Amino acid sequence: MQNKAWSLIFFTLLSQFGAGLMLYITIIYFFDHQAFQLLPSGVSFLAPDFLALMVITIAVLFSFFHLGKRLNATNALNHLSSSWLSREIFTVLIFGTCVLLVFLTRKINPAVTWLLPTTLLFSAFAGILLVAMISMVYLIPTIPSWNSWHTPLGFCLSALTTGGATIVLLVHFNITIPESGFILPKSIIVVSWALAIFLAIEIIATLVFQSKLAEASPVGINQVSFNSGTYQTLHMVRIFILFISMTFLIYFIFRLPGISANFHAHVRFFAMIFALIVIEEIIGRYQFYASYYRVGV
Amino acid sequence: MVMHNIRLWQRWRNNNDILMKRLAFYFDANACSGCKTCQVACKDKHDLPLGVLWRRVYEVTGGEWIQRGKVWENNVYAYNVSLACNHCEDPVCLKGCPTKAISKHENGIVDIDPEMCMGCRYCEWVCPYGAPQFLEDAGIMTKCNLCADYVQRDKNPSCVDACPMRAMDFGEYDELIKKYGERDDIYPLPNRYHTEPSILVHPHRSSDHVELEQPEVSNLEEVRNAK
Repeated sequence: MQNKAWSLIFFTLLSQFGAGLMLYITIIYFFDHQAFQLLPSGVSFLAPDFLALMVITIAVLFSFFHLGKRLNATNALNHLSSSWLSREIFTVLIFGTCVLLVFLTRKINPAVTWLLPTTLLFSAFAGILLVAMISMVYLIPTIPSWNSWHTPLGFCLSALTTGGATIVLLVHFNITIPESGFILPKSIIVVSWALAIFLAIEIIATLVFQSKLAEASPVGINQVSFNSGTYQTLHMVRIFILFISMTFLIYFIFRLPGISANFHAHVRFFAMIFALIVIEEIIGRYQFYASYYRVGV
Repeated sequence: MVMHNIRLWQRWRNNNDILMKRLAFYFDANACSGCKTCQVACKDKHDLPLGVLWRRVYEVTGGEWIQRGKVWENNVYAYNVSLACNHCEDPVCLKGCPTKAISKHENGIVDIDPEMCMGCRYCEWVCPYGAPQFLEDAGIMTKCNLCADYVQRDKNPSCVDACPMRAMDFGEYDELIKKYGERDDIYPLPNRYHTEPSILVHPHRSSDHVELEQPEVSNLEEVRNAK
C-alpha cells in the first residue's frame, strides 16, 4: 500500500458516509415526517446534519495529511476542465456548504417553509455527485484493479450502508418510550431492510470481484498476488463480518415489532451491527488501496 | 461574431501546431550494457537526492534450463531498459493534475512547476512509466525535464551524452523515426495507446522470448525504491 494511504482511506470513507447520511435524511424528510421529527437539530452528535457536517470537516482535514505541500492546496481547483481530482475537491466543498446550510436552516428554524426541503435536496444531490466524483478519480485506465465496475459500486454501497446504519441508530437514540409503548417509524423498518439488501449485494460483489482479481494475470513489473497472504486473509475476514452483520440485521428487523419491552438491549444490539459495518468498510477500503498496481513500470 | 471567434481560434491552433515540437528519446536495448551511467549522469546534472531516480535502468531476466534426455538446454536471456519520462503526446499526468502544475511546453517537454504542485502524488499513480517522483524534503513531485536548459542551447540531455555505449539518442520524434524506423515497445513497457510516449525502442534480440517465458525485473528493489 502507498504511503499515507490511511488519510485517503478515512477521507473517502468519511465523505461517502456524510453523503449517505444526507441522502437518507432527505428521503426520511420527504417520506416519513414522523421519523424526521425524532431527529434533533443544533449542535448535537445525535443531530444527523451536525454529524454530517463534522464528518465532512474531518474528512477534509484527513485529505490534507496526504499532501506534501499543504499550502499549495489553494491551487487544487485550477484544473476543473480535465482533472477528476480537481472536480472531486470542488464537489467536496459544494457538499460541505450544502450540509452547513441544512444545519443552519434547522438550527435557526426560519419561517420560510421551502428553505429546509430545498437545502436538503441540494445536499442529497451534492452527496450523490461527490460519490460519483470520488469514483471517477479512481477509474484510472493504467490501474486495472481500480478501473472496474467494483470501484463505483463499492463507493456507493459504502455510502448507503454507513449512512443507513447511522440513521437507524440515531432514530433509536432519539426515541423516548412512553408508558403506553410506541410504534417505530415505518421508514426505519424500510431503511433496515434496505441495509440488509445492500449488505447482501456487497457480499456478492466482493466475492465476484475477488475471484476476478485472483484470476487476473499481473501486467507490468508488479508481481502482485490477490489470492494469498494478507490480502486473501483480509478478504475472508471481511466477508465473514459482512455475513454476520447481515444475519444480525435480519434478526434485528424481525425483533422490531416487540422492542418496547427490552428497548435498550435492542439499541445496543444494533450499535454492535453498526460497529461491524464500520469495521468491514475500513477493511474493504484498506484492501482497495492495497490492490493498487499499474500497467508498465 | 461567433464564427469570427472560431476562425481566430482555428488560426491560433494551426499556428501552435506548427510550433509544437515532439522531442523524443531513442533507446537501443541491444547496445545497452546496463552500466547505469545515464542514471548517474541524470542524478548528477539535477542534483537529485538519495532515492529519487528520474532515469532508471530496469534489468530484465527470464527463461529457464530444460533437460532433454541427458542434455540440458537453456533459453535464458537478459537485457536492460533505460527509462525516464517519455514526454508523452497524451500525458495522463498532465490531465489528472488538479493544480495545473504539470504543463506541456511548445517543444513538447512535459514539466512540473514546483511552485504550483501540492504533492498529492496523483501523477505518480497514473503514469505507467513511473516518471513522476516524490521529493520528500520539498513535498512536491519532480520528473525528467529533458534537461531543458541543455535543449535550449541545442545540446543533448545529460543521459544521452553520458552513455558510453551510444545506446541512446535524442531529437525530434519524426526525425528519429526516419533515422531508426518505427519501433515496438518491449517488456516491461506498457502498451503505447495509454499515453503515446515520445520514445523509440530498438528491442533486444532476446525480447522475442518474453512472450514465451515469464520475464521479471531483477532489480525491483532498486527501481521500486525510487520514490
